Amino acid sequence: MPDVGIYSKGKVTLPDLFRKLRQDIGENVGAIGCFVGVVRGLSGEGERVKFLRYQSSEDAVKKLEQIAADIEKRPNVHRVMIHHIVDQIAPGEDAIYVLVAGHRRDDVFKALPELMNRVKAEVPIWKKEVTERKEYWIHEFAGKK
Amino acid sequence: MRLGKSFNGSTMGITVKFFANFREAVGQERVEVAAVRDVAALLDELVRQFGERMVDQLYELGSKKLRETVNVLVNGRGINLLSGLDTKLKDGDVVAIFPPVSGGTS
Repeated sequence: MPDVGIYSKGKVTLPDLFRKLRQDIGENVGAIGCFVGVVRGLSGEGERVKFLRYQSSEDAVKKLEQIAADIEKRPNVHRVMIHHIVDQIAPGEDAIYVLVAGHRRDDVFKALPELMNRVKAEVPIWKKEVTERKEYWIHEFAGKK
Repeated sequence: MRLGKSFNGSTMGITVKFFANFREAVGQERVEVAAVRDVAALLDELVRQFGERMVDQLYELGSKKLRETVNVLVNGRGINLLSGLDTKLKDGDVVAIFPPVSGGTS
């Protein structure tokens, strides 16, 4: 079962995940890669961001499991972890952790952007950006660009 | 619209789940709608219940064309893979309405 999860704030930390990953990676692992998604303090229009408010459907964990399992099937990828925080998140705080343990660094460097791109495109999670002047769901802003 | 009753007396209907801007527009996570024949009729019913705020979220300005940012799933399958707005509905179906997903960070 892939190691994934959806949490409220304060329920998951990168050191805990990293420690867990290292416990069972085996002797063929030569690289561990990690991506941390952090909430930026400035919006796409340069406004100061107060917070992002995330929302997910009950299918989000299942979709994360599928994505992690797909990448974990690769012979040179030994372990994938995807843990998303769904809550009200302030600038500078973490929103997502993706960890990959693989045979070589190329295996890990290839997997990380693929995982993130799939998370952004496939997992039923939405976010609303609240700045000092306005608030909007991210797709509403994208439509105005 | 009142909900129908099944043969054993339990409430039947179509469950509609809302996410993101749609949830804000209706002020609820989900509603139960009595049997309607297809997705188009369901959307008409939602507009009847929730008015202009639902019209604004669903349709291009001044038309009945669904916005490109509207996703409708029936029992987990996109209506674009079924019969679009003509997709038939029956009691017990679950319909989800949501915008494009945007997990992670930018």
